[in-house]
Amino acid sequence: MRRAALWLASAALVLSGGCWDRTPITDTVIVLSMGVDRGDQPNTFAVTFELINPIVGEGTGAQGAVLPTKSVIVTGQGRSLTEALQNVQRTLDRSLFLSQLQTLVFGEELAREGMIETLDHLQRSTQLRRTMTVFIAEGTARQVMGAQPHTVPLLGIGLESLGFHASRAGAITMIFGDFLERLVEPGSEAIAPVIMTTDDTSFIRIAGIAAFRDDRVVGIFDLEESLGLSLALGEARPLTAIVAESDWQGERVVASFVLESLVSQTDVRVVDGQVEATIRVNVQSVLAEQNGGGNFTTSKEWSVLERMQEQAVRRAVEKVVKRAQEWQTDVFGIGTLIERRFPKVWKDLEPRWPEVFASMKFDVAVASRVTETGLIKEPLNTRGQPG
Amino acid sequence: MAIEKAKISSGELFALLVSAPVGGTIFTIAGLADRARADAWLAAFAALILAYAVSAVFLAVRPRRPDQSMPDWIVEIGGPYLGAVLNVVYMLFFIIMTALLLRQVVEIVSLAVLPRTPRAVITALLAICSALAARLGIEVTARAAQIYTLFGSVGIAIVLVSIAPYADLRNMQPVLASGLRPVLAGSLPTLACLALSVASVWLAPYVRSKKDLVTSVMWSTAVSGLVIFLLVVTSQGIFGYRGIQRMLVPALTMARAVRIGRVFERIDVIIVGMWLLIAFVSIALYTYLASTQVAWLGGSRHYRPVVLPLTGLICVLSLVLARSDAALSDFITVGAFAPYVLLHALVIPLLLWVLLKVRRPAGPHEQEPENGTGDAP
Repeated sequence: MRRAALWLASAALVLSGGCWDRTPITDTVIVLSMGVDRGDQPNTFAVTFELINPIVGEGTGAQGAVLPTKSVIVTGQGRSLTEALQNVQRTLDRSLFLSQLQTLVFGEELAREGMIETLDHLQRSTQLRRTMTVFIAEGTARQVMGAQPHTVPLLGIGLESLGFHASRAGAITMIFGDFLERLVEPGSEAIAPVIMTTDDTSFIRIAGIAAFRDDRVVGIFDLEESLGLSLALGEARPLTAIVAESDWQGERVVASFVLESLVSQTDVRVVDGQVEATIRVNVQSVLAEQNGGGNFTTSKEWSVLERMQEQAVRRAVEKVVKRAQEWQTDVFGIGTLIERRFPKVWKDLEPRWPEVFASMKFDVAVASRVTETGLIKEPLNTRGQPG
Repeated sequence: MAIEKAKISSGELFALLVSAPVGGTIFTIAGLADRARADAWLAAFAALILAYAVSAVFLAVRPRRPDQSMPDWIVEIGGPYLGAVLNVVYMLFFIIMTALLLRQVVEIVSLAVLPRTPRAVITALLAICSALAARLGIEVTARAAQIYTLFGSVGIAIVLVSIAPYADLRNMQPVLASGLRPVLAGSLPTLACLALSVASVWLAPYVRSKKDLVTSVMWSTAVSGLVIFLLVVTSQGIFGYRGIQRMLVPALTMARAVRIGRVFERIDVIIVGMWLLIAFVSIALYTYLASTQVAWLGGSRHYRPVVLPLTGLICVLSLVLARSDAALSDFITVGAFAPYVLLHALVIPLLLWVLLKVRRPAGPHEQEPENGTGDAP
């Protein structure tokens, strides 16, 4: 009898407790993307969410699954992110479900003033993940999230894909976790891809890479500098286009290469108390296009192509180095490398690192290889003339 | 005399011994980075080496007769008064460790899976399951341990294999920038976790031979130490030591970061579920040890009636042990956890070893069964 009572009590404990953490899909709205801007009042933040209602489906997915095709943009403001989030919640009859949040967009104004106050909740929340893609929006996050891209039905999914493919488009893919690691490392600065909407808001495009100093954006690298940075960091992925321009026997030649493989390495050394660095970039690519010039695909002239690519890579890397030094932002993580290799030197340099970084000597060493020419051997514009 | 007639194989003992360090190491990784900074990985390795020294000490004072229980042997070495005091101390140790292991699991489940479910409910559900396992005896718990350790290993392997490609081994530098002292200090919480295999000497009467006992302890220390080392190397490779320092539970953050392609992600609940099985075994083992120790002190040869009341006490202790998850983490990483465990796994065994050498208790020593079954002649 006692044994039966014990089993009954145990079963009751297990079965009648219910589930405090149940999240019925009928009571939730899924947040796909989140934008953070400076609020209208001083010391406030504006949070913009892209929401989808999972049970109002219109489109058809795989195997006949009904998918939502429209999202709703809502904004709330508050002194903290949590308060802003609660203010959004006050406008909804369903609870916000943040676990599917894929993209974080920070407005440029906020990013230039400092983002640190917006990051605590994003790290602390157990719903959010470090794999979210981070963007800086040219203008405000709200503006970018108001865009209606033609190619994808849901902005959040489009942004996530854009972030994923950024490293194939001359920029970088930055996930939230890596962004934070760069932010807290004293010897490196954070970076994040910048996005903007086209004038008719029908497309969102990558406009460069934002460079931070501490938690503030100090500048935005243009597309060539962004390519240089992604090559220097070894972040550029296959299919990235490298466009080289040169003068050949008085004729303008434009050759485009598609990246096949990339190995990058940065070496640091201390010479007579001065820090020096060499950025080595080893690129291997395929000739994708050649306009102007002779036939460089012969064994005699092959080196012309490789030299053109080398010059384009060198130019992009040197340009981003110069700009980073001008902004005193160590986006290459040189300080971290010094801390690892010369910890005693780093202790001395750490308090004045931005100034030291701005004046240090950089060398850029590029090894260029072109391995394929595509389906044709000669450029179309040689008109039968040998190169 | 052993408190129950049971026999476990060396493989089962290995599974039991692996459960406590692996189940209880969840907070200690942050402790490694707190003190050893970039040398956290070295501290994890140092903990593994030092754990062998600690194991050698407590194995040196294991019961000498195959059917002799550890409490009996402690009394034989220390005499009736000191023996009784030491047995009370170990009873408290097992109770507190059970509560601590339980609280760690509850914190992780609450943090990662069931944030709105009251901690008391999670505690009670887990403790009751563990108590039922403990009541069924060491053989049942040991067999469950073998199966569950396999599941847990799969979970840990998934995390390590899927996330290792993102680890940057340059994050292990600089090496020994602040000397050896922070490394040794940083290794203490992990060493304490590995030293939880001190439970092995209480299980000695159930093991078939002395060789099985020593082999199981050595292998379990190696495997647990290696798992912790790999977790530290991977998390340091991904987050850097500064990243780990800021995290409450780096291992959980790592499980949450698993992303293979753009398809296979958000598997942390599965990983936590697999780890939970290992943690369940560790709680069941320590509940069993606490109950048998209480029964021995009460002069009873029946430990089963003690299990459920003691589990109630452990549940309450587990809930009041720390005010918050941060306080619990502090207690384990920089607080009294390491000295407290090492007192029972190193200092008291060392004292017993000295007494053993000085007093040389009467009776047969190092008696090995001829038939390998371990039955008393």
